[in-house]
Amino acid sequence: MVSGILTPRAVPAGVAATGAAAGLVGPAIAAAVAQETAPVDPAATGLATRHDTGSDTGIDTGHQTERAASSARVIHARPTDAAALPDASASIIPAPCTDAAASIWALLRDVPDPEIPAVSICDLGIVREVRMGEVVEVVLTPTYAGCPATHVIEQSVRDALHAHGYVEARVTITLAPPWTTDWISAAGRAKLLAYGIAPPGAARAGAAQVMRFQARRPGKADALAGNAAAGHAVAAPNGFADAITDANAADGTKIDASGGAGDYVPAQAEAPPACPQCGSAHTELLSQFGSTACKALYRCVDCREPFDYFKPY
Amino acid sequence: MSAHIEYLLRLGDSSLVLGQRLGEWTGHGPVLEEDIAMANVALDLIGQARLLLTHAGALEGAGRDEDQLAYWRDARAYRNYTLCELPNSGLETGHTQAGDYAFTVVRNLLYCAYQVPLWQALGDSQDAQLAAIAAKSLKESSYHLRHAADWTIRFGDGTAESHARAQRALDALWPYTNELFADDAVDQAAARAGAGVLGSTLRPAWLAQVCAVLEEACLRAPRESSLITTGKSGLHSEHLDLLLAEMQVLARAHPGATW
Repeated sequence: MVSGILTPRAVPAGVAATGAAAGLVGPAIAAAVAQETAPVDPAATGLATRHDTGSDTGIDTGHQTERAASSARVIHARPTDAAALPDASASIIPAPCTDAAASIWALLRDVPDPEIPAVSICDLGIVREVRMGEVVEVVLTPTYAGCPATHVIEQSVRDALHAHGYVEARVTITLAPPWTTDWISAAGRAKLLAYGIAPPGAARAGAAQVMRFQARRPGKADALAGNAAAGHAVAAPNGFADAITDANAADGTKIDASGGAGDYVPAQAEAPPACPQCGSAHTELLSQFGSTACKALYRCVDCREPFDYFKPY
Repeated sequence: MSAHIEYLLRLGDSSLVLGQRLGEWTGHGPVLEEDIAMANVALDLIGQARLLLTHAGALEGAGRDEDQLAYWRDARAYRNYTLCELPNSGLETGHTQAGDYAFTVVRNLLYCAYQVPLWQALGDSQDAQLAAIAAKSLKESSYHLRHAADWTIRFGDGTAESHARAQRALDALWPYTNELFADDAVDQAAARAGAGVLGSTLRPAWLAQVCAVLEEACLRAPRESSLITTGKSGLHSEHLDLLLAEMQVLARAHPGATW
């Protein structure tokens, strides 16, 4: 089997057989490198071409096996072991390097998010950078600080890189700037919706999330607003009234309580997400934390289906 | 240990200990949705703790990582605020009783309303890593605050029983908030260095936020108390030992184990 022959160094069983998307990258780079280093290896080039046309790599003929094995050697040499390719000095790499970076982005686009496998880590905006240095470095940023998927994602990226011959590739984590749901791509949003998760509304970068409540009793908010307008700090007996007044006067109370007690009912209340099943806007919040910290649980009042809402972050 | 590291331990230990406390609700929540919600809040707090303790360990340079700091320090070496270690069941019933959700929720309100302006301020810290952690944590703490405020309002403006429990919790917890705002030498040194922020400067925003929620919840802000607890200096209530015993037992039974 082709994949069996490729396995010993880097490309494990299954990867070569998964078709064009997975198989394209390594051999394409191999071909590019082979062209840089005389003589051009016709076998490797031939293989890359075959991948480019999207033909199946899983068909095992003796000839293909030989070509695959020969290209596999080149794959390993190029990204991980510069010393093995004395002619491929840094000065001649730029053009293929760009291709290589593009190839790495392409392979990362196939790494699914472990919690929501319908979207890739690129769709979610978790991959921040691909650096082509001595070794390839992929820079990731975690979604939530405590997200248990972060380690899985790191490992998946490492596995994907290794599977394509980048044996010494490095994965680093950066915290700043902090991940935001605004980085989820349009394609990612469409995939979330198709998967049954309402995609997030816009997050306001850098701002604290304003709390929004609905007064349970009709007229209560008005009454409180009236009290606030009249200068009473309503719920602060026992000497706290002054403190509240001071706090309200002090600039920098970014939290939205600063406008007075009745103020947090909603100038900017966010519209509830539309139901991903039936499209109705008539939905209600069941819980602010759904199956994971990054999602809230909603219910559609019309079709009665519960659904996850990816919270703006 | 430098004030800078002490300061990071205060923040990291507080998140860790409160996260561990909230984690006790897992499988015992009042309803399924809340069981999941509280576990998620706990997870976020532990995530904050991991980043902060990792950073503290790196600055210390003695080779201690997050796990060593979490599992191999005893209570006297913990620097969390006493507020965070109090049992979920409240102060009257003690550790052996089942949790009181009103007590848990009101504690979250009081602490998360402190964390939000804290992270906002620390977003400008001279310690770039702390600033990055703060910017990230701010987003999460804002959701925790929202959750706690929502439930405080439900309880306070709910039935006579839920109102009474929420008020009792508030009265019991209020004195423990003084520690957050009582600047000591460590706070001052960290603030002078531009790494930290003085708790006292956060009190107006905290008070405005908390009182706005209490207002909506028909709850009464308690009177000022002169109690200042000392958890952040390592002198804790009797509750922390029990919490740590449970949290640390596995790691200590199998030193160096990985999984």
